Amino acid sequence: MEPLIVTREIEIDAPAAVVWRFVATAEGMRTWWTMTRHVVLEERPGGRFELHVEFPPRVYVISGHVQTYEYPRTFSVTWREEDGDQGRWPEETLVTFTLSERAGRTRITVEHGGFERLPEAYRSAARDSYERGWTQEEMERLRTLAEQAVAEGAR
Amino acid sequence: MARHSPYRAISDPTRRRILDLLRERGPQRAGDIALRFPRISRPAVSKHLRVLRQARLVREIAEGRERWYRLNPEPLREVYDSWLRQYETFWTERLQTLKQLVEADERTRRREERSDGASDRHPRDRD
Repeated sequence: MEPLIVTREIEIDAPAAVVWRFVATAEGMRTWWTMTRHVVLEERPGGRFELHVEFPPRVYVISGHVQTYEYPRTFSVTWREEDGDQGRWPEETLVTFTLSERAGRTRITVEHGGFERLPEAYRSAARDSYERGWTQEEMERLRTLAEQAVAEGAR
Repeated sequence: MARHSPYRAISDPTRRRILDLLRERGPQRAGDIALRFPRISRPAVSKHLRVLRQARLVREIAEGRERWYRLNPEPLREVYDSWLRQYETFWTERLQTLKQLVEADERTRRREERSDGASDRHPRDRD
């Protein structure tokens, strides 16, 4: 299965110790997770993690566990979403924050991976942006077509 | 002319059925396709094929006097991948918010440090 991963990075004019406080503590997360009314983060490997993110009219409940907690470099949590329409993702994805400091500035990389583990039905959020009367069956056909395209591209 | 978006092309149920037909039965002539949609006029079918062609979802192949239409599924990958793109946007926005907050906080901290340092070194300069 081809890994499906989203990678984003940004450079921040602050030392890694400062950035870490925002990224990897519950108190810090509350400040930059706007649209989030509920944050739980137990700051240790195995600790509980939960966010309630609001994209009106929906609320996404994100839950998982801390996988890596290595100050001030690597913080990763498992990430499983749930919303009213789709129910809870049957599998977890993984979000990893990596901080690297140079001359007082910190480059932070977010990798959100493991999407390939989710069944197609849970990826149907893609429909929302362009949908007009799509059915799940049609999405399945679209998947067949897309995979066919991948196979043809590989040939 | 700008290439037409595959999103728009597949937003129409008839065009989705044309794509299904080409996937299931392989290349078809315009006439064959029109026969499958008896309730739709020939010109309307031609128009749908044109939209699909402009979105690169079908290719037209001329063979003698006949034109065959063949499915080209490649642009559908783009549509399908849009799911991941939502997360790209999501994380881009989150990181930008993080940057703004951390840097504002850091500026305040540095300013305070500087003024504390100045007063430590030059107590008599204070008003």
